[in-house]
Amino acid sequence: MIAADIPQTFDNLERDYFRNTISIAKVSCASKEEVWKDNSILNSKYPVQIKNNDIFEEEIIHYLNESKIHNKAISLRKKFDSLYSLKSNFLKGIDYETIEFCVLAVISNIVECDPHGVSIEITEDKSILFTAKCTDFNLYIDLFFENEIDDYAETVINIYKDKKNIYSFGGNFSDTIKDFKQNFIQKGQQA
Amino acid sequence: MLPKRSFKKITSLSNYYLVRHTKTSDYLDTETGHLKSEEVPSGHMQDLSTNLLGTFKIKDLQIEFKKECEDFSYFIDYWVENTDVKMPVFEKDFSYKTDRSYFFLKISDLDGHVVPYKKSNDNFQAFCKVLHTPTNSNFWHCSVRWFDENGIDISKQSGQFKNRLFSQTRSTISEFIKQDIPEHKEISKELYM
Repeated sequence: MIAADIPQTFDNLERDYFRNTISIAKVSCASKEEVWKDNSILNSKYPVQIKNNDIFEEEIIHYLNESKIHNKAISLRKKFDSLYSLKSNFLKGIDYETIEFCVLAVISNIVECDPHGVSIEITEDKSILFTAKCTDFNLYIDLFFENEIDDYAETVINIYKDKKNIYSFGGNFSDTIKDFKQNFIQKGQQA
Repeated sequence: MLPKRSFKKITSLSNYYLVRHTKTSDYLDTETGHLKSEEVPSGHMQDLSTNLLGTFKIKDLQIEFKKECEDFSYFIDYWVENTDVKMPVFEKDFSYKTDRSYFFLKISDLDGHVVPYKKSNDNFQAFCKVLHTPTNSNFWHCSVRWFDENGIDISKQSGQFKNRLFSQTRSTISEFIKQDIPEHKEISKELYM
């Protein structure tokens, strides 16, 4: 049952902290500062504790859902860090803060799609490719960092369902992520 | 595998499969099952080299021409119709690379597939074409290419839009990859003789 999965203690302060910081998963990269403010969650080990046993089930489910997103985001962040330590030479000359900003924003959007598996690749053509396998669709997000006139990185997002391309959008980073958020994630992942 | 003077290029490919070699057998990502981009970088998507499965056998994928051989550029150059070709020599011109793996693409999945793209904020469409492009060492060589609405090969155009487009086309290819050997048959001689 759900109750068995819940940590034993969880005070209001910690719960609020958890809810505020998990907003990384809800950022649509309106600004770089906003992501920076929120991305601490991906670096921290949040000690979730529940002190009251009378938490409403709705809140418990909400907490568990957020935990799931939180853990996936951390896992992907670690995966990227590990990859970057091996292949940073492919992104030579690109400001790391810019890379990190883009990667965290992409991760936050990918986890909202509840993927079964995610691959991250840094390619020789100065790009980072994310591929996510989700229940009903496959998601591809490609970041190209060589274009200096773009705000952060030229970005391409493609979604395939039953081998048909149901969503395709490319352009500067912010516009592309915002469009993806508004037209795919918030509309129930329907193109 | 070699072209002969009496052969002609094949124009009707839709019933067949393509096969392409990969560097290693673990060309698919373990978590997603999708093609690793290092196996087919987006730069290769402009003109993806493949082989027409049938008369060309899977074991033929092991053939690798030596870059240092004198006639390397000749052997990988496109064949000119109505000409004979030089016979390559084992070990001098080519060797067998046995650690390669492979994947398949159904031509009818790709041929005519449309990918939308933007160029200077205007919307366009790219059309996939599978072309029979024999080389002097491989009559069964095929190319997967992308053309604009005017039939112009997009790889010949310049502009930053190509980055985006060929990223999209890599996703397309990844979607259509088949790992298992499909049922296939010899290429009908009527098509090329």
